[in-house]
Amino acid sequence: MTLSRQVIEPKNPALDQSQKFGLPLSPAVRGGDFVFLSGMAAIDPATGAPAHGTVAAETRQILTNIGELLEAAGSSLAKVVKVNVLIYSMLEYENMNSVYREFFPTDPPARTVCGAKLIGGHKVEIDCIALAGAAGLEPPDRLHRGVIEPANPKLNVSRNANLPHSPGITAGDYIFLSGMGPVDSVTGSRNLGPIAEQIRQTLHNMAHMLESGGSGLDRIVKMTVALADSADYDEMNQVWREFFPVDPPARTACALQLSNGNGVEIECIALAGRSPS
Amino acid sequence: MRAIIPAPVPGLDLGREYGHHQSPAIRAGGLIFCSGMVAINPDTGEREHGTVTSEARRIFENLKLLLESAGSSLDRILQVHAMIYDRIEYDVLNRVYRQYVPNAPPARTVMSVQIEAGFKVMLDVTAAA
Repeated sequence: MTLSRQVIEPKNPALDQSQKFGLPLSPAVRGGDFVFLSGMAAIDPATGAPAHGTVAAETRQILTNIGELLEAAGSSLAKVVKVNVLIYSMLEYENMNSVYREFFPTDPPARTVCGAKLIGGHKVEIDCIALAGAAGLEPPDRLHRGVIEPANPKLNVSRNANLPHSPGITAGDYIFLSGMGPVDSVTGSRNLGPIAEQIRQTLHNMAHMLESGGSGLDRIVKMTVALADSADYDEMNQVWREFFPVDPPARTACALQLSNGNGVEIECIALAGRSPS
Repeated sequence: MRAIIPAPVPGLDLGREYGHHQSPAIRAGGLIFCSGMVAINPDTGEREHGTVTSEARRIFENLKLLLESAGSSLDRILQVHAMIYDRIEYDVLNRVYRQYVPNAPPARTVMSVQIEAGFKVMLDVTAAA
């Protein structure tokens, strides 16, 4: 099977950072049903210059620019399925959320937020994946964008904490889960025990989330793991063998700043539906 | 369908070499999802710690092997999450990076994080099959 691949340019050339700063990236690339955006920092749409500001101001500028870029791909903010937010300090999490939720008032995308050192003195950087599509046309049923909620309400962290992301989004052939941490499935509070226990808890919760959406762990194609401590890498692999005895998913793991004292946070992309038996 | 893409050469099997419990890549629904790639010698499996330039070069050469074994190629990459150990090397990464994706490059996000085993670069790639 060969998918079409097409670079998407923003209508406003000032938003093309690759041109302005000579960077080896395209603002967005469409592949089949989806459009993949480069990480966007706050850029002044009038001049193309960096628009450094507060976390709230940068978030607003970035999401405004992303909306414009998505429209050039026949998509829109309402068609975004997965967002990655990088902020310079997790202490600013709520300042980012307060603006973010204005842009995604209902059924927000799946999302992962991490604290990382950013390029160019920016405080926020956001990338995303969205359903592509012809402007103004309703997508075919196959590309319906739906929200996945866990059957166990204790695990519905985003709703319980009033966070502006959905637990999971189903779109096209895939399910995109938000970054998940070690939440106890009985109490709904965080399980900050030994790292192996945290990883086990998180994978159990992911299984529940995927099953709630009609899929399962064996349907995962890609996992991205953030560890608070890179020394926990070997323990991660040991727990992985328990959950994925054969044909494990593709995986990327790195160490960075997590929220709420979590030792681990994991997100995934899975195929929708059950495996043929 | 969810199809495992095996390591195209023995050295790139990180499960065998380092006990990483992950598949090199998986093809599903027209996309190829690769595991995070670090600088590994494709023949011996040895880690090749080096500069940002040498590590990025090795990663792209290995990605080329991996993607082409799955019927894809470097110019079919859609999105890259590029991780570097220190953002001060951003321009160093860009100089080598653009040699491998000279035209219509993928969408990309660069972040500065701690990478496994003391590597300086890791590339996380999604490509069109």
